[in-house]
Amino acid sequence: MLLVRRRAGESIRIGEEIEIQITEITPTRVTLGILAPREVPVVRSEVRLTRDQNRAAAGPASLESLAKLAGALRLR
Amino acid sequence: MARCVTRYFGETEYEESAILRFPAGLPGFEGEREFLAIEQPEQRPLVFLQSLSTPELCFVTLPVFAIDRNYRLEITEADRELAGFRPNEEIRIGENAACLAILTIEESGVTANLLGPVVINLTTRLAVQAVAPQISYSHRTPLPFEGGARAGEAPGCCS
Repeated sequence: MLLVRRRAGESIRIGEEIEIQITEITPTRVTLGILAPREVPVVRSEVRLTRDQNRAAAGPASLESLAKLAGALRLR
Repeated sequence: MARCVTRYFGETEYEESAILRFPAGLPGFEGEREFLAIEQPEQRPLVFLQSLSTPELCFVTLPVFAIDRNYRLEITEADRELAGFRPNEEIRIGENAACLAILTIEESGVTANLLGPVVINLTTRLAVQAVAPQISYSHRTPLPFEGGARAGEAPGCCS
């Protein structure tokens, strides 16, 4: 992994069209400004995790397995 | 009354006012904008999020408090706005909002996505899958989770 040290107000470029600006730094988080072409999706990594999880969750489950799960939840 | 075909329960009738609208869809399903929340007595406490445009698409969910009674919702400003909450409006699950975790049911077990729960504004019927701004919960929380409220205590949910 490439590591780059930057201060607030500085930026880096990825290729010709993507620029990432360090907008604000606090002790616990940084705010990034991202300039990228419209066709480049920019999402937080957690959104990507949720996308993949949604796709897995959309797979079919049998009604019997659901009834079993519901029963187990009711019995707790 | 309108009718739709569901993934698990055949054809069902519903009121226009029951439709949940997701202005941005869900991650991976951006084109899916309208869902019904279906609750069946024999499947309680599960809540089924049935797509109105794709009969085969139905997410199986649980109210977050049925999984973790101390669950704390974290939501970005952008998601609050998408679900139609007013700027200073407090989101109270079980009162003006419902909060459902999507389940993934696999042979190895069942997990719940507590990182990105579905948040429904019960006033506007707008909904969003609100991926938390900080990672405090897992997108694959194993079930059963011992911290869950008993099913009978779970807020009964999306109406």
